[in-house]
Amino acid sequence: MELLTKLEILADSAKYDVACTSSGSDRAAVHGMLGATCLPGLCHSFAADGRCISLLKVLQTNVCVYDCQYCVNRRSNDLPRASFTPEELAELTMEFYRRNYIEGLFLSSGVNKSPDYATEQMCRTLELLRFQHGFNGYIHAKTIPGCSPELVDKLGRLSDRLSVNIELPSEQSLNRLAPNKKKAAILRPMGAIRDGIAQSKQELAVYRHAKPFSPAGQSTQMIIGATPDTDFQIMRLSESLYKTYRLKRVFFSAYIPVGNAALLPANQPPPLLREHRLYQTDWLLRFYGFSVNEILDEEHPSLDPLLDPKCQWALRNLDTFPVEVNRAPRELLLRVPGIGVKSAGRILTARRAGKLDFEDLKKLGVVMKRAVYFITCNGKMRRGVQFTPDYIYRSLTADTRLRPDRLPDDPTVQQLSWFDARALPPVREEVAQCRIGQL
Amino acid sequence: MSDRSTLILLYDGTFEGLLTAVFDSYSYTPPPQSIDTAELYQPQLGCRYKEVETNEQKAKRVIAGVRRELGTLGYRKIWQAFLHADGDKATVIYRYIRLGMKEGERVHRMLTHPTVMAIDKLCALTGREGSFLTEFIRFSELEGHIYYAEISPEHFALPLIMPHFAARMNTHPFMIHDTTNGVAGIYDKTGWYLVSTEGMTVPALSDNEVEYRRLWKGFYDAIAIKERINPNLRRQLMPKKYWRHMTEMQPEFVRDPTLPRAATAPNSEMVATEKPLWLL
Repeated sequence: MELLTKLEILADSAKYDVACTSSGSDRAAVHGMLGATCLPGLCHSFAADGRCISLLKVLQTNVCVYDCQYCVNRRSNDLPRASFTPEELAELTMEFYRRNYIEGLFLSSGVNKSPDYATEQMCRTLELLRFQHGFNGYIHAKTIPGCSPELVDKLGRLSDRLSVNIELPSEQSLNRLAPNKKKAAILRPMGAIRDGIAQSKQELAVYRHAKPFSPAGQSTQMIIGATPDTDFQIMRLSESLYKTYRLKRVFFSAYIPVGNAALLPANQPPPLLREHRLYQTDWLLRFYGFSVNEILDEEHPSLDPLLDPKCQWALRNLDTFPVEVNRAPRELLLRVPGIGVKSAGRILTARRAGKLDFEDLKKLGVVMKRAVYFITCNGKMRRGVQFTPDYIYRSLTADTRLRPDRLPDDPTVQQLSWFDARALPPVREEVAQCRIGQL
Repeated sequence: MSDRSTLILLYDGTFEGLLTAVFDSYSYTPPPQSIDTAELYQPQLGCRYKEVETNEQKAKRVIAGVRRELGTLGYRKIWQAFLHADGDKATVIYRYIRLGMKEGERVHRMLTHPTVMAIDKLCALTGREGSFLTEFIRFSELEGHIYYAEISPEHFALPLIMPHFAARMNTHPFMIHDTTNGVAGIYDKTGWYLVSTEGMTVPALSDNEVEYRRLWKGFYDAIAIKERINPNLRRQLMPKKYWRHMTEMQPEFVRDPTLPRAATAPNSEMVATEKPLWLL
């Protein structure tokens, strides 16, 4: 089979794995070896779907004996099958890297005989890359659930990041849709990787030339929209994964029907808005100091499609506001909608040189369209702003493109839990009454 | 009678020339309003023009002053702002240095001051172009195992990107040809340097090159998920002006229809015309 055909088949099979970042590893170039890594990661191209391409994302083989319902490569699906030899994949990676097409390799595999056999093939490719070709760039390797701890260790010494896909947010969905992958078989290697990383950090603290194990950490991926799990369940699982396994990232992948899987919803558009809101919540957990219980709980299990999660939280907790930007600590500034991590840092720096007013905040890059309802400058809110829940909600949703009549037909989007804007279109009299304080 | 009309200094377009002009500006009261390039300035009514003679000693003293008052960060800012293509950069840098000499370290915190904002903007634009170029440059293999890339930047980006590539591509010689400025950055396995490209001829492509371009284009087309195709998002993240030198955005590598297609690969044509299936 021609190399181009193999590449197209195996890239096609790998494309639903979104965990393709080249970040987290800061390895300087070594003279005589090709490549280096960049801590924030580099996006060398963007595909037609707008997603970043930074690594050569392929499977070693897409022959698989498992029959996971959500996967395009399952045994019962009829599609062309191919395999790379370790030699040709290593050489392809090197040639692409020299042309600056990629930052490195993202390697996964179907289970063609057993998890151990597939992992051994992957290890052969990575060993050729690192030792024979002298490759110093980024390698992200997928760990196949069920493979032996010795092979996980070998894989971790060769690559920058390891990941194991959680795939589905609850154990019963896993049992129903992917009976070959047991929950324990997925979580065990995640624990082993966590321990390997911790041990390797200790070794490096003592001996500088110790061989690192997965220096860019660990990540995982969940499919959104294939099962009836709520946003609350998904985020609660993410939060516990971050805490228990010390992951760098949890990725969410909108479910896209591939082939005719009997047990899965078919003919529905991918829940992209829901995926976007989940990522926004994930950012709040990692960078803004939120916990899941502040945003979602049993009574409010879904994220509002009209508002981002931070605005949603702010409207439910108006007693925290307004925040005085010239005095508030960093943690409180981060809670204001419209102030992000960068803007908060700039506010803290700029206010050491003088008091800030609303014009200054705009120059610093604060999103005034959202922030103005929640802050004071020198004790005063901006003129014309009313500090009432009604007014703020209507202002925040007024000029978004997400009007109720234009929401995507997404069956997994739940009823709005706070204001059902579909039932209450803003009436002129009501708005006027809001302004004069009668409502 | 003293001449109180507006004074504008003219420099020769080099970094040392600009720093000399900044040094000389301290000998005039009131200080000059702005600095312009001697070749390209437009004379205006009511302004005096004075040409500055580049002096390396004076330039060094200004650099030492900047390093002392504003630290490495301040020096890096004026160096990076100077890579910008804008004619007004000289005035922006001049005003920033004078403000910095007066205020010292404090100037790094005055983020809303118009002078500081102006120089931060220049640095951001050149830095941004440097970042995009490190990502979107594509090398081609030429005969003799030399790698060659072409760029058409708006600003003078080569000093920003050459260290990055000299480090990671240190196993083979390469050249980055800046067609806008007529300069090329060359790495010859011992170090990198800049040369003028006048009268330069580029050797032919190696035998393998077209094959690897085809492979990359095949990968690029296969990796997109057709249900999520979003040309607007792609254009936002990957500005069209870089597409000219990117292998995967060239129309000549159209798929050979006789090759078997993978099961869910999108058409190349879908990329240009199809609206996203979800409407936001």
